[in-house]
Amino acid sequence: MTSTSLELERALEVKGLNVWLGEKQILHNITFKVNRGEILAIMGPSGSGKSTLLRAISRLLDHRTDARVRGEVLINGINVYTTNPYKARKYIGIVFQNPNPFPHMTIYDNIAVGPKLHKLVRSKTELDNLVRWALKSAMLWDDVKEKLNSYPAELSGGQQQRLCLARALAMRPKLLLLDEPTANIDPVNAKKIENIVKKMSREESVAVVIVTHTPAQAMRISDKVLFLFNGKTIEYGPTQVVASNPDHDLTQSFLRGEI
Amino acid sequence: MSSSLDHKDLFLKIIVAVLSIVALIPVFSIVYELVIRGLPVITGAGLKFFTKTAPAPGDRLYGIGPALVGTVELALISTAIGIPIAFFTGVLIETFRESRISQIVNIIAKSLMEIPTVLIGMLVYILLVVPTKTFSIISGGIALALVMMPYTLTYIEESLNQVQYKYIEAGYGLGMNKKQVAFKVMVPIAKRGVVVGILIGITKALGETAPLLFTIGAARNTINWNPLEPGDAIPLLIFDYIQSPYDNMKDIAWGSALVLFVLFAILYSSIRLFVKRVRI
Ligand SMILES: Nc1ncnc2c1ncn2[C@@H]1O[C@H](COP(=O)(O)OP(=O)(O)OP(=O)(O)O)[C@@H](O)[C@H]1O
Ligand SMILES: [Mg+2]
Repeated sequence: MTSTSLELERALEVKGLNVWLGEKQILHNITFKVNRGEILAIMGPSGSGKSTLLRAISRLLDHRTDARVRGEVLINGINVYTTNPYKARKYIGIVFQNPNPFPHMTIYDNIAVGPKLHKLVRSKTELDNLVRWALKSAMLWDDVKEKLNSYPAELSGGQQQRLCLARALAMRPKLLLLDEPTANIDPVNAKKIENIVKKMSREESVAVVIVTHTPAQAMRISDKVLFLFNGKTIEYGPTQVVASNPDHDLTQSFLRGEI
Repeated sequence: MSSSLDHKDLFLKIIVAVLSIVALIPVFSIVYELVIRGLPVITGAGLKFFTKTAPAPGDRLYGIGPALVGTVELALISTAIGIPIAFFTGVLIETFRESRISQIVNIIAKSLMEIPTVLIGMLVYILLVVPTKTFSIISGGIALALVMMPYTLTYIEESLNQVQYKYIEAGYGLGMNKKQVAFKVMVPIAKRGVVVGILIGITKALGETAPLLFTIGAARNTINWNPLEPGDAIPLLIFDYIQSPYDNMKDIAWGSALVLFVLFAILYSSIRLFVKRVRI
C-alpha cells in the first residue's frame, strides 16, 4: 500500500459511518478525523452509540451476525473494511467499557499475550521489560509487582480496568480506543492515567479516541470533541471551541451536567 | 397470611423429603445388592479374580482378566478416536456458529445420541467386522467412540458456548484470529467443561453392552492385548453370565458388576471433583 505523508498524518479517518444492530440504526453518518498525536473525546448520553462506534472502528461488529456497517474507516489511509481486520487490529489498542482481563491467564500473561501474538519482542528480557512498562504506564505496577503470577480475579474492578489498559498499551498501538477507561478508578489514579494517555499521544504520536462521561476529563485531555446524541453527531470540533461556544443546546446541558 | 405461607412451606418440604427417599431407594438397593452378592465373590477369589480367565461352567476358578483387559483397551481406543473428533467438532461448531454447515454438522452429530446403540453396533459390524472377517476389540472401540462422541461433543460445545462474549471480544481486539480465539481464549476458559465432557463420554461408553454384541466377539478364554483380535468387556461378560444356569458364572457376573460400579464411582467422583476444583 502506498501512503502519502498526508495520509499518515491522519491516523484515523471515519467517513459516513452507519451502523445497524438488528433492525435498529445505531449510528448515522458519522464523520471525523484524528491525526497522529491527537486526542479525540467522544461524549454523549448513555445509549448514544459511543461503544458501538469504537467497535465499528476496529471491525469488532463483524463477529456479530446482526450487525451491519456502511461507510469507511481509514487507519493510516487504509480502509479497514477492505483489508484484513486481524492485521488492522495489530495497530489498534482497545480498552472496553467493562473490564475483561482473561480469567485463565496470569496478570503477566494477560499483558504478554498481545506482544507474543504479534512477535513484538525477541527475548524474555524484552518481554519482561515491556510488561513492566505497560503496567507502570497503566498505574498498576505498584499494585501487582509482587503478584504477576496471580490471576486477575484477585484484582478489584478498577485494577482490572487498568490491567486491560496495560494489555492494550503493550501492543504499542498506533491508535488507542478507550471506552471510559477511568470509570471505575479513583480520581488520583484517573488523573495519572490521563497523563499517560497524553504522554502516549504527544511523545509517541499515538492517535487516541477516548469515550468519557466526564466533561472535565474531556476538557483536560482532548484536542477535539465529538458529541453523539441518538447515534448522530450533534457537535464536532476543537475542544476549546465546543466548550466555550457549543452549537447545540444539548451539548450545553450535557456540559453543565444536566443529562 | 404469613402463617398460611409457613404451612405451605412445611407441606412442600415434606413432599420433597418423601420424594427424595423414594428416589434414593433404588440407588441404595443397587449398591446393597452389588456389595452383598459381589464382594464375597471378589474376596473369595482374591487377585485371581482380576488376572485369570473365565472358569468352565460349574467350576470354581474365577477370573475376568480378558474382560478387564478388553475394557481398558476399549476405553483407550474409543477415547483416542472419539474424543479428538468430538473436541475439534465442538470447537469448529462454536467458532463458526453462524455458518449453515456448522449448524448442520451440529444437528447430525447430536442426532447420533438418539440412535439406539445396538444400531451403532450393527453399523460397525457391517462396515468393519464383515469385511475384515473377524471380531476385534478395535471394532468395539470404534463403535464405542461413536457412542461417546455426541455426548462429549454436546458437553464441550455447551461449555464453549458459556464463555462470556466479552473475553472473546477481548481476544479479537488483540488481533487474534478465529483459531487463536478458540484455542487461547475459549477452550482454556471452558477447560473444566471440556474435561467433564470427556469424562462423561468415557463413562457413557464404558457402560455400553449393545455396541459390543456384534463387534468384539466375547472371546474370554485368553487375555488378549492385541486390539485387532477378538476380546471381551465387563458389561458384555455380565450380560452373558448373569443369564447362565451355572452358579459360578452368576457369581462372576455379580463380582464384575461390583467392579464396573467401582469404576463408575471413580469416574463420577473425578467428574464431581473437576466441577468443584477448577474455578472460572
Ligand atoms: N445487541 C444489540 N441489539 C440491538 N441494539 C443494541 C444492541 N446492543 C446495544 N444496542 C443499542 O445500541 C445503542 C448504543 O449502545 P452503546 O453501547 O454503543 O451506547 P453507549 O453510548 O456506549 O452507552 P453507555 O454510555 O451506556 O455505555 C443503544 O441504544 C443500545 O440499546
Ligand atoms: Mg458504552
